[in-house]
Amino acid sequence: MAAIAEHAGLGRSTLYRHFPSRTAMLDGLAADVVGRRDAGVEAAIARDPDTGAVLRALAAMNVELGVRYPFLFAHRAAVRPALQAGGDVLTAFLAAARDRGDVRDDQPFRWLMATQLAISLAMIGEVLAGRIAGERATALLGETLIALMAPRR
Amino acid sequence: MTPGKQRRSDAERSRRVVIETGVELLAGDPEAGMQEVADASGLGRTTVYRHFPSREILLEAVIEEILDRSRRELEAAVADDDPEAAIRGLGATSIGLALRFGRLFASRDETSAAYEAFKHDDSSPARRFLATARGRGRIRDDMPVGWMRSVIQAVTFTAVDEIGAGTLAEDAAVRLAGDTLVSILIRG
Repeated sequence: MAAIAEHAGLGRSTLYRHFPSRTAMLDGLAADVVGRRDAGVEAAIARDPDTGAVLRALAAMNVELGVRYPFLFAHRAAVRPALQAGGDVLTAFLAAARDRGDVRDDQPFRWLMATQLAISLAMIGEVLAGRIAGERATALLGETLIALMAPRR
Repeated sequence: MTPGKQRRSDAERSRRVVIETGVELLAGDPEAGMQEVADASGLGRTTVYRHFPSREILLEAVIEEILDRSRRELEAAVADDDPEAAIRGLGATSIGLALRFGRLFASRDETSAAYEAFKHDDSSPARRFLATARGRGRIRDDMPVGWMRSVIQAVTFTAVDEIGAGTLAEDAAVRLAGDTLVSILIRG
């Protein structure tokens, strides 16, 4: 916490007033990242509302945010509830896509949401470990999320 | 059998008993101590310490045993000639292993390190199956094998998480994981 306060140019007491614990701070950061992702999803829907296009955009944002905030990946177990709870825009979009028949409806919606998060975190792990390069990771994650969500033929 | 051979095979047997007891105990309670292993094995502290002079050394043997069993179970799962059945088997086996041993591997750095090495082992049954099936065109060929393995782990993790949260029964989670893996790895 001291290192973070110094880095942010804040006093320790200011930092502690906003975030009484490391956990509270991590949750705050996770909520912030989910908010950014949601804003990105909103912009992607405005550009092209096709489900596949939005899932590709989601993949790109997840990789980008994951690489920009590696500490969130490092603390993924602790911030998982915060990551899972957030994302109203994404949740609403996928629920509507499911009603239209663009997302599979033979699995619980909760399962789809949990697997897309786990698979995205796995890809962030691959990129951070240097096993898959960023650009390839975005395309590959997009294909994987599309295969995950696609209605059964 | 000569007395020397007899002694050695007795020693080997009691070593196995300690390891197997260690697997059972530590899988349920990663903090279990040497005394508990000695009590549960029925062999006594002295015998346990003769084979494993410290808890760390026993833990190492226990981890090796668990990884050996995991390899054997995964090997059996991918023996099915039908790729869809093999992928469902991989998912079900991974979930079963994670439910039994996940706590131990999540509990300490040294166990996680062994697990990390296992996950990325190039000769693992899952990896060999994926590489072979991909080479024969029986699963999709536009994803790297390493990524497919990561997807299997992510889906396994989600299933275990949902079972732990009580939102899915084990059989339902296994079925969902199988469906999801088949959709991602075969149909594309």
